[in-house]
Amino acid sequence: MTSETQVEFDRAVLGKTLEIGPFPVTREHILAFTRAVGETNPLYTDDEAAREAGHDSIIAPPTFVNVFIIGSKRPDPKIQHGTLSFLASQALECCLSVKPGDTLRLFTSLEDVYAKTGRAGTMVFAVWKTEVVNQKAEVVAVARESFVRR
Amino acid sequence: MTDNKAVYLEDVEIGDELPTQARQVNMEDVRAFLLVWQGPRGLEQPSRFNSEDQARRERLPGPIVPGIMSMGLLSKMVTDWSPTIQLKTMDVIFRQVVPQGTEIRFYGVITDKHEDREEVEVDLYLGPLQGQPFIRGKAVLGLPSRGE
Repeated sequence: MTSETQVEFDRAVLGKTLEIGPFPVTREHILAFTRAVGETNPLYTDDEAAREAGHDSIIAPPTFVNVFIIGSKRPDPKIQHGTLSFLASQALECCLSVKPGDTLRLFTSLEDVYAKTGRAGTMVFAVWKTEVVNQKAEVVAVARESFVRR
Repeated sequence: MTDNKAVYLEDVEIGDELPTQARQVNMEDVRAFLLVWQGPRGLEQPSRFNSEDQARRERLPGPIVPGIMSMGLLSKMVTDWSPTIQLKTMDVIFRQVVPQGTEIRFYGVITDKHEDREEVEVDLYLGPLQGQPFIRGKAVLGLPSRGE
C-alpha cells in the first residue's frame, strides 16, 4: 500500500511551457547514435535503403529524440526531497521521422509532482511532458517521463 | 539485422516472441553513448554512468547504463525484428538500475493484434539472464498487411 504525502517545491514551474532549442539534426549525430546503440537497420544507416523505403535519406532511430529531451535545460522545480534523481519511466510517442537537416524545438512543461510512500520509504516523482517539433511546426514526438527523487 | 526477413501482420499471432537479443554494455559502450548524448561534458564530469567513485557516492553498486541508452537498445531489438516495423509508441518503466558489465537480455512478446489498424502490441523486457527484469515496457508497432 502507498499513501499520499505533501511535497514542497516551486509551484510557479508547474504547468508552464518552456521552449528549448533549436537543435539542428546532423547526419553525423544520427550515425553516431546508431553506432552507440549498435543499430544495423539500414533505414538508419544506409541512404539507398532508406530511399527504397520512401525516405529522402537515412532517418533517425525512434528514440534518437531522447538525446535532446533527457537532460535538457529545464527549470528546476526545487523539490524538497532527496538528493538523487533517476529516470523512472518514459512514454514516447513517435509521430514522424526525424532526418538530417531537421531543426528540432522542445516544448516542455512540468505536469505533476507527487509523493508515494511504500515499503522503500517516500519517493517523490516529477512528471514532464515534452513535444518535439520540427522546422515545419510538425510534432515529431511526444514524450512524458517521470523522474524519481530519493 | 539487415538480413532479417520482412514480417507481415499475417505472420504473427498473440503470444509470439520477438527474437531475443543479449549483450553486455560496458564502460566503453556507455562512454560512446555519453559523447553522443551530452558531448565532451558527458565524459569530463564524473557521473553515475562514467565513474565508479561517483556511482558509489550515489549508493549504487557500480556504474550504470543510462536509461535512455537502455531505451535505445530496446528500440533496436524491436526494429531489428523486421524492416517492416514502425515503432509507434514505447512506454517503459525503469524498475531497477541496469548495471554495466553484466550480460543483459532483451525480449518481447506480442500481446495483442489489431488487423483493422495494422498494429500489434508487445510487452518488452530488459533484464539479467536470470531473475526479474530491470526494465519493463509496452510498445505499439505498425506492421503492414501483405494485402493479399
